[in-house]
Amino acid sequence: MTEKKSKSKKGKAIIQRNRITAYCFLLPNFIGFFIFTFIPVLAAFVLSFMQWDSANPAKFIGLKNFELMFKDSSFIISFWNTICYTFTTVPLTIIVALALAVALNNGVKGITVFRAIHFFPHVASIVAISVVWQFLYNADFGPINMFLKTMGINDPPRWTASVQWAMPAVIIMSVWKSAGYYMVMFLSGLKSISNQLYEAATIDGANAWEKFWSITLPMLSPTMFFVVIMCLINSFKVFDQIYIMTEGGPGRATSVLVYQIYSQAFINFKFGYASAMALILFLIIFIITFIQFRFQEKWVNYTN
Amino acid sequence: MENAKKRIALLLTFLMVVTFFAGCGKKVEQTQSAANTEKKESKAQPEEKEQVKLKFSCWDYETSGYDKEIIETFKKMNPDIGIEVLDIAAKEYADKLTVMLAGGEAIDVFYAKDPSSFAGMVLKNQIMPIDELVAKDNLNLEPYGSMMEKLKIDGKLYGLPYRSDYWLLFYNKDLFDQAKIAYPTNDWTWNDFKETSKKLTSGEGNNKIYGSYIQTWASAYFLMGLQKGAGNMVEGSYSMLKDGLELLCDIQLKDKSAADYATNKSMGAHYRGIFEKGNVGMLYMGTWFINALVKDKQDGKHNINWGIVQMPVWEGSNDATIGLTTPVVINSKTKHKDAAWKLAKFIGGKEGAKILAKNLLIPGYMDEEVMKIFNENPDFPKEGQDALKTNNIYLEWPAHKLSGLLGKMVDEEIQMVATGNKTVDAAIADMEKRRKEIMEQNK
Amino acid sequence: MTTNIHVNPIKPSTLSRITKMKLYHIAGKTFLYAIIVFSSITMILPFLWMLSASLKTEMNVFDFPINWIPENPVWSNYIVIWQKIDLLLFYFNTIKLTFIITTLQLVTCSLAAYAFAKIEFPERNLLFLGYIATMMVPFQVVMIPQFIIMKYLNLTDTHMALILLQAFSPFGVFLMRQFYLNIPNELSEAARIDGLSEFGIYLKVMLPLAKPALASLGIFTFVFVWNDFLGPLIYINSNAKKTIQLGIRMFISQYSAEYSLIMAASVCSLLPVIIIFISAQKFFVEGIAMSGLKG
Repeated sequence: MTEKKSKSKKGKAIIQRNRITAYCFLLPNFIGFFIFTFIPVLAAFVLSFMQWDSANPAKFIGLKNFELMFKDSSFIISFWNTICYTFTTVPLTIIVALALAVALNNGVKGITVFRAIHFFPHVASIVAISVVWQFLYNADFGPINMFLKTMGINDPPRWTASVQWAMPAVIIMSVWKSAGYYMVMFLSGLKSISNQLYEAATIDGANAWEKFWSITLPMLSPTMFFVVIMCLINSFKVFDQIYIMTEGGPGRATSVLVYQIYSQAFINFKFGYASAMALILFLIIFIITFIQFRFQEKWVNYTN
Repeated sequence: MENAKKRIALLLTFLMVVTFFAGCGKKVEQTQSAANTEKKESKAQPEEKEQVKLKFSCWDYETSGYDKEIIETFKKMNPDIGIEVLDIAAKEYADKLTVMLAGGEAIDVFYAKDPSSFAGMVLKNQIMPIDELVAKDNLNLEPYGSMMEKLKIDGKLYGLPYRSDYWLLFYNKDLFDQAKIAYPTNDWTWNDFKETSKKLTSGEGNNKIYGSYIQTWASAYFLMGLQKGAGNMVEGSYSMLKDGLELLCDIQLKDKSAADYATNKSMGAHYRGIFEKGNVGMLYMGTWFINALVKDKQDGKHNINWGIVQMPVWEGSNDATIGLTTPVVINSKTKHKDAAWKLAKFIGGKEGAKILAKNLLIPGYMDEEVMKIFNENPDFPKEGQDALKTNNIYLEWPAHKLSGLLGKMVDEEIQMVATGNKTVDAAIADMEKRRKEIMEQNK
Repeated sequence: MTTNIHVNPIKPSTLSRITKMKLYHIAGKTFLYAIIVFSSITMILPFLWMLSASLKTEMNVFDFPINWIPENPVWSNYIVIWQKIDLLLFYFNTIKLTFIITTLQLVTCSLAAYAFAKIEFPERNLLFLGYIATMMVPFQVVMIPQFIIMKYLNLTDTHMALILLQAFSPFGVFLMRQFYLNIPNELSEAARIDGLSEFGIYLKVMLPLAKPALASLGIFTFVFVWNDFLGPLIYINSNAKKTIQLGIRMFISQYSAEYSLIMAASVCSLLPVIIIFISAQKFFVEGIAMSGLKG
């Protein structure tokens, strides 16, 4: 009995001690994070219940910003565009990035060069990227449509010039642009998988596919968890590619939420309204991420 | 264990302190170096005691040259006023200004780049009304012409027009000569433009010559509507845009005498490079292009004989074009009101105008003397003088708080027409519908 | 993934089985190479375009169809960019910023991530979720509150502002935490029994094992800070403090954009990034000899 008591006391002491140690580790990061990231984010949330033009005093208006939002056709269009963009881009990017990582982890010759090349789109100037993709997508002389024509498709899509195909065009470009970035993350994850596991599996007579399915994927799941969440967040927040390649066009075919947020804030000076949109965007991402966290035990395989 | 914990805590505190001191150290260094430079400056001008230091923001200060010339001249004439110039990237100018003013950055004098941000800043009480200052100095507003009225919001004047640009028709004389076609004239109609564009078009591939080039800006597509004088883009009926849009669709998609919108957009095409390359016959563009053409010719970037005439108009109507004005304004929170007004008056007044005219840019302030400087520039085509005498100049966008948002909407709908995704009528109907929605949303 | 050896369910003779396996193997490898080469070509296209555009005259940049090898390469573009703007100074500023921010981030993030991954404390998950949540808010609405704080601290137009903004990224904490989680607890337990303090474990056990993750975080931060445009745009005013990305924008003026010069400057700015990537590569490629440590 006394043993139990002392154990719980000891437990509390351990918790307390752990907490202190943990905060010591956290502190250098936390102070900066709190002041320069957390407070501004909080301020943005408070602003979503206000009317603010960035200069005159803010006025509390309750949920009015949110009411406006659901009557705003540009918001609704951008909302669905964002959903559509995210739910195609995320799986595609992850599949391509993983395939690249596995392929480049396979003892290919000249691997250093190939790996560096695949990181290129992430570092190359966005202007150059958009120029090259506009060229690839050109309806009349672009290589993509040339290829489609030789394949017997006489009326290939007009890509960025057509309402139906502009979004797929942006998605393809985005996957291409970020695959190399996530590939690097996968590569560092792949490298932490012990070779012994593969050796043991080889002795057991497993083939490449089985090894991938039963060793690589589970062992990679912490990285995968990270990549899925980062990819989701980045896709929901997509702005740059669209701002430079299509400017949301043609019409509003590729207009996304952050693009709307930007225009309401910096063209219309309605910072409260922009913040309210950002809050909605936040809630969507947060719920999806939260669900992931909740269910991570089901599929994320931490070594412990 | 206990010991270990202490050690960690110590180490971490140490690390933190180091991080922070590294930061503070730099700060101290920076303030020191700032102090040093100030010292140096004051050494250079020992006779000045208390210098007023103004902050002035603009774009392309280093690259364009003329703003630099204006500021340098001002500094020479007013040695008691120091000026710190914030040179901001042109495309992001409005955004950065919004952030800085919101954060309380003390910029004293600046340019308002577009009508919607100008109107927005007035609403945000960030710009000082200058009526009082104008009255005190008895400033003659006549040389500013009609543009002055357009800078007024609710009857108050918020800035002096520094530049006033309007659109003209530029043409490549060599291509006209080659095709043995007569040059455009000041009384051209849009039909003349369309037919000539067709005649000038020839060749294939890299030798292709296009009769005209139409920049992918919304204003290049709606100016024909505004020329009718039937109202502005915020309040006027969008049905005025119909024949203009149809004309451009004919030129680009039917006659193919100009590259179409999608191609231009996809090539990231820029009118300057395209016109200077020499395979485009005609281009309608703002007066700022005169400066660019002259400058590029001096730099050996092209060797085109170009000319200008007034914008073509619709059959039977008076000469008309569209324009925009860039005001120089004063921050309402400035601590150096007098010095700021002095600078604004200089930039937006005769002195600034003379420097602009020397660089073949159209200043907001225009009198005989300034006009003379402009016309006497040897690089300015003599026969082009009449082109500058357009009587009716309509504003692209009025200084209205919704100009920005409506501008985006109009641009989106025009894009749909120009890429063949919507008919002209459907787009105009949608414009009206969306304008109602935007008005409703921003009551 | 691409080499599936067990396709044939019929049991052939041993000899033919071996040759078949070899054939499959060769076919698989060829296929693999074909795919890698193909994707490499698409990945490198923009860079080739940058190179080619940087050697053209302004008028020929947008010639269509693209002329990949300029007839008369304009090498002078690479001289002009250094003369027209103060690129050397911008280069120096960028190197300074990148170096400081990357180092700080590696230190603070790897420390914080250790707490989130390896120390049990009650509000750990909540706090961590708070960290991640801030990444979900678009920069466009945070920009002004952030600027106001910096203005309040009197840090606008200083490099310090950029350093403080970027040195404590939640992204880095998340990345490092995920990696630490994959390192077996047995290792730290063993170290603890050997009498190592918590900080000792972090320094002597975790950090060496986390090299691949540190290398990737280092690269990501490096690339981000190097290419960052919005941060410097908002916080930097004076020419003496500008970074390369701001410098490149100087070639885009209101009425024109000098693409050949932009591309020449971009190529110059890209080279250090590529060099860093290639030299850091060996860290996340080497992998870790964990086998010896694992119980």
